[in-house]
Amino acid sequence: MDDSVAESKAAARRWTWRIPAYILLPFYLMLIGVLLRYAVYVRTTNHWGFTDYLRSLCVYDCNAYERLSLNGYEGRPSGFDKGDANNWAFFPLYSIFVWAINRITGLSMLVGGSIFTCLTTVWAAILSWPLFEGRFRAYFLFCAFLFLGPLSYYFSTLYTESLFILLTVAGFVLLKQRDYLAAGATGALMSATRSTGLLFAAAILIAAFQNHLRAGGGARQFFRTIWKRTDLMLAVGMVPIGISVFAVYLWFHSGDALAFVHIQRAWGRVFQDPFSNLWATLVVQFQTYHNYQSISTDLAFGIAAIVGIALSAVMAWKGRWDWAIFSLFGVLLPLSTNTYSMIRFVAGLAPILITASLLGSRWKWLFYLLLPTMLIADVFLLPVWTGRSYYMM
Amino acid sequence: MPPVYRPKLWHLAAIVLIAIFDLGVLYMVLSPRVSEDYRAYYITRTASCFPRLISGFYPLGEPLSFVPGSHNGYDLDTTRWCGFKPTSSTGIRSFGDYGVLKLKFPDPGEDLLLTFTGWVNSDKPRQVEVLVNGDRVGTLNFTGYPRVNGKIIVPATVVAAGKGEMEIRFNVPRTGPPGTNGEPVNLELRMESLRLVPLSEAPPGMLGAKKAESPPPFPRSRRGS
Repeated sequence: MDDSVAESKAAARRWTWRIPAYILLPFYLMLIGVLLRYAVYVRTTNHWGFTDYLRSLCVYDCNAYERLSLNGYEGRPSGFDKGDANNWAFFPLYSIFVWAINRITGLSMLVGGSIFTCLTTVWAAILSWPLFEGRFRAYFLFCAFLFLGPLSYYFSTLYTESLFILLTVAGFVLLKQRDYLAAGATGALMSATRSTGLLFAAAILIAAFQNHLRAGGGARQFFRTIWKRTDLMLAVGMVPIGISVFAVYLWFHSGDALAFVHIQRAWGRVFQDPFSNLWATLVVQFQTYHNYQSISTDLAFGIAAIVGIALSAVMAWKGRWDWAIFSLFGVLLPLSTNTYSMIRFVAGLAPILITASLLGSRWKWLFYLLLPTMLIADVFLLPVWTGRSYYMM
Repeated sequence: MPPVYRPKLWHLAAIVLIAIFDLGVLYMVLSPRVSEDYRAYYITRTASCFPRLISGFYPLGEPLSFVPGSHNGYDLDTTRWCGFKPTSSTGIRSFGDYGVLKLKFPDPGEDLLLTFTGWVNSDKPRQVEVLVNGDRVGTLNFTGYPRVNGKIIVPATVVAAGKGEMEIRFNVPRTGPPGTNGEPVNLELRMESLRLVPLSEAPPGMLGAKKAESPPPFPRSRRGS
């Protein structure tokens, strides 16, 4: 496979009916992924119902997002064994889209939401193309991870990862184009999708600083003239609008604007030192349970956090500080509350996936090794996912 | 040549509007309009459980079973108020610093005999404090895993203080430091059954319980609430 498909400027200007490979690829891989997993489902369950297949994929938070789309936010907490949980922890934007699709098309939340997730992921992949700077092999690996990788389930059922990745890549492409206002508006949508969307405000500032340096400006001049950068201030100010609107809604609904934070107690989440949490999760299976033979969920989550932090360091080393800070704090923020679901949180950060793809495609042998490995993992992990494995929750 | 930036008026106007909106949000963040139990559990974290909405219905004198399908008494889940997980084959299991049951019944105007069966998840000797309507009525001594059949006489004055409602609280000790979830590790009390009988109606075999001193020797507990 050719590593570069960069076209000449003249060729790019010529009109053609040919659809570029970077647009077709995610569509094809998405279809292959859906059909492959459905075939595995039929083979393992001997059952042909496609809706039942979608239902079996809908585990853990998928049910919460489906219920949120159906019934909106719940009243007094009463869920879980301790009777202290409800759906206030789940941010609204994704479920609003699923609800709107249901209203417009009449499709059920499950079917409409699954289609929306798949298409959103395809859109995210297409939009991410400029971030690969013409490296098609890396782009191919990124798409393969999304649609045929071991964590493809997040990108094919009712989870917010697809929408968040779409908004993240859109935001970073806009930052690359120095369109800060549009990036700020995208950030507002990000913060209405997940709490980590708030971190995009820092990415905007860092990208503006780096763009200023690239344009021939100095560091001191940037800070001296920042009060003139009303576009930048407005962009940064727009990012928290999503989460703020959610807080206002919760204040009227529950009386507590920070209910989405406070309700996390039901999930055993409380703000602490993220590095202490990381250390505790790395050693607990050895020190407490004396388990030296397998990888516990705690250890797996700890390893995922380390991978996320390490890839953030790679981004910084490559000079992509806006990606690096966004990703680093995108890992540290959930890590500071607990390590549960860390695999999902790391996989939901687009810069981490893109950097991993750039690294994984750097050597041909590694690229050709990773592709079938991911495919095999995708197939074998399907029953693990539908069996509600804690590793992947 | 270094880039030159020019401020735009409509940007400034939008920034002012966002700042006003943010001030409104800040006011909402700083002034939650929530119930005391919500504030104690979710915001200040001084409570270790969030109360359920229950009827508290209890037919006085009936054995109350916390093991589903055991068919040995009244088994509707109407009294499990706070700090106990749902009924299971091992009874209702406490979490946090205390578990509280709330029972509603007409005050018979006399002492009540409180009996119950429970065990704990520890092989070490542990003590569980029992409070009724805020007053300590006894202490359960668990020597390890074996079941303990508790038998406590609740004075009529303590029953009357509840005004038709009885709050039975089991204070359990902490057994370990907080984990990554910030919650302390507590002894788990597994309550299987409970019964309240007016003393005059108690079968002879059930008597012999120790009566709590009246007036109670300890003030109303404020632990964790």
